[in-house]
Amino acid sequence: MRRSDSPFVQFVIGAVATLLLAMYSTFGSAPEQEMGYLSALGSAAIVGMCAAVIIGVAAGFGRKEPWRRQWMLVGLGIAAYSLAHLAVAARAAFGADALLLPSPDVFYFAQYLLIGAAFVAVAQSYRPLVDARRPAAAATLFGALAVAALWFGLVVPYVLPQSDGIAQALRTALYPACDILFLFVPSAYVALSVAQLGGGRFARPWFLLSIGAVVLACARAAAVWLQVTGGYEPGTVVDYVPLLAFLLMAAGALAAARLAEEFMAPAKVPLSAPSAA
Amino acid sequence: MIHEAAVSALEPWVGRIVADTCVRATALASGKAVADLGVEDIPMLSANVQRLLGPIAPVSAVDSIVAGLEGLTS
Repeated sequence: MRRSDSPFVQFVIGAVATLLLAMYSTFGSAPEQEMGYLSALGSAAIVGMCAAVIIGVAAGFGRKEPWRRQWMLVGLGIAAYSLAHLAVAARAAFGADALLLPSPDVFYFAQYLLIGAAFVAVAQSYRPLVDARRPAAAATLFGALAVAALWFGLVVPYVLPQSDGIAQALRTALYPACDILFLFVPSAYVALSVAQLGGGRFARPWFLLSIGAVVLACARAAAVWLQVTGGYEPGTVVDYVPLLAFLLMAAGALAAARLAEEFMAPAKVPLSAPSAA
Repeated sequence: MIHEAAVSALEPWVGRIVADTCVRATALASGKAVADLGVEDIPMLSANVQRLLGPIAPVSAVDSIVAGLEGLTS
């Protein structure tokens, strides 16, 4: 694949693959258990492709370029999510001790740390250019509202009454809390910082990454909500929206690669002579 | 005018505010008004573009923009 392939075309191809997987898991004729791990495998493959695209883009930047480190962290975070799905599939197929794989939780938390670190790195790179107070205040406010919604809308009415102890309640609430802390708040901060500067084409990859992270956090919050309220059914739309979020992130990486490639063309000199000296 | 050419070149890539910041930082450092910037200030403008855009843009992009700015002196 060339680095200049259209991010939109890549997104559509990935979305079609996701749709086919969703249709297979809904209308397929395999037994339920087999369907479960085949769906997990399909998800791991799509997310793994997103990770491979992003890592490939990051590796294409020079060693000292900030975009290399930032996109590499995103790619590795998404690869960790893919490995988590592989671990889920292996456990569904071969049992909990399958292939001595660690718990999927290890990979999920690695994903939070890596993508969160990527957002911190992006925020640091914009720091000399932005007045950080407004985006920081707004992102903190959004985060506080999300935590309040998590606490009063999920934990108090559903999680605490249904849990045997505080440890189980914490475990249920931990993933939505991590989504808020590591994805929602940092992505809101980056998007607001970049928006404060008036955008520009260098900002577009970060908008796509931020939108992807917000979509991911919201989709997983919806999945947890459905699980604790008893409305969750495997293979429904909430299981596949996260894949679209990763496709958005991969589209962001491809947009970044495309920008860099534009400037590598020798004919490209983006400056015209002044009208008057 | 140099500042208009620089802002109009930078704005599509980094937005109006960053473009203005690069030009205003140069004017501040050289003790001139923005409108008074001339070709003799282009090396400093290039250095500011490199410093401010380096962390947020690919090296090839920054180099290309700086080459375009330095081309204004010729």
